[in-house]
Amino acid sequence: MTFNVLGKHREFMSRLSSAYAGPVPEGIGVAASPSAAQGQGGIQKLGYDGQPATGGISPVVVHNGLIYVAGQGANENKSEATLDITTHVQRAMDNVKKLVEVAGGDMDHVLLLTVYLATLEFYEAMNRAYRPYFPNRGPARCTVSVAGIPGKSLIEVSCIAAVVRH
Amino acid sequence: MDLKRKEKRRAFLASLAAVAGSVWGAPRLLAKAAAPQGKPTHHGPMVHNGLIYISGQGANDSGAVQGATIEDHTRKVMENIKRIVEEGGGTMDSILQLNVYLATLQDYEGMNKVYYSYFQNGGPARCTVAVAGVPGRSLLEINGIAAVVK
Repeated sequence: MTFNVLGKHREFMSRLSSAYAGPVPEGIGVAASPSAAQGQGGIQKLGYDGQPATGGISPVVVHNGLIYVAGQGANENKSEATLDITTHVQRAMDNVKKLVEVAGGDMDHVLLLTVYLATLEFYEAMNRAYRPYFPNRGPARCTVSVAGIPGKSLIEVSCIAAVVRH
Repeated sequence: MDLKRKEKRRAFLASLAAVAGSVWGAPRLLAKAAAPQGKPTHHGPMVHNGLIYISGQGANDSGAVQGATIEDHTRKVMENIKRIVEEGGGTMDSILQLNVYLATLQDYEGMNKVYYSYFQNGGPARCTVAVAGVPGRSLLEINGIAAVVK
């Protein structure tokens, strides 16, 4: 194989590999960024303020281009939930949005999201409040109603997102 | 077309694909992408691409739990998780995400007390709910994802 042919072969291969990477959101498969490599094993555990988390639960964990968001509730923490489901959804989703962005992602790059509802009766109302958070295209979602959610929240949302900026 | 000719044609097409593949290197690229990384999966956790997938652990997995309280059950489940993660080449600090499924929300505080003792340096992203049922007479089930660090 001459050098020229070798060069062409390489060019073709790089085009082939970029074609494979095409439909994948930016950031996936990208090696950990310098900032993400700060933690042990390239793992960053962060709080809502973007500072390192030290408690038993980290609100958000970043590793190898992926963002793991802990279950977010409405955090009303009263003895009884006093606000309606729309407000609970908005509070939970605002938390999710904040954490995804703190970790270097955005809502368009949420990949997988799980919704736990206190009762299935909230399903339609949850959908209405949920939709505006994904004007372009929503993540793969899974919704179930459960027997109980901590903190008197009517909803709990967790997700995995892709890092899109470093 | 009779069966023999069909077979011959299939074999020819396969050899054509193999030749084309070896010229362009595509099979090697695909094989590399699909190759399992890390530990074998026969006797250990599922490990792929630097991630350890922890199956749902109940208190009666890997032997019956000693004791009946949520603290006993949580400790047993967390010990199972610790063993699985370490088998897969991770550590407790390299757990990225855990999902806690409780048989009843009344056990939330008791679970937390034991759970927190396993994470002194910042725990994983966690999601906890109470569910309609947990298999295997366990008061809780926990699954999750950890990173390979060793």
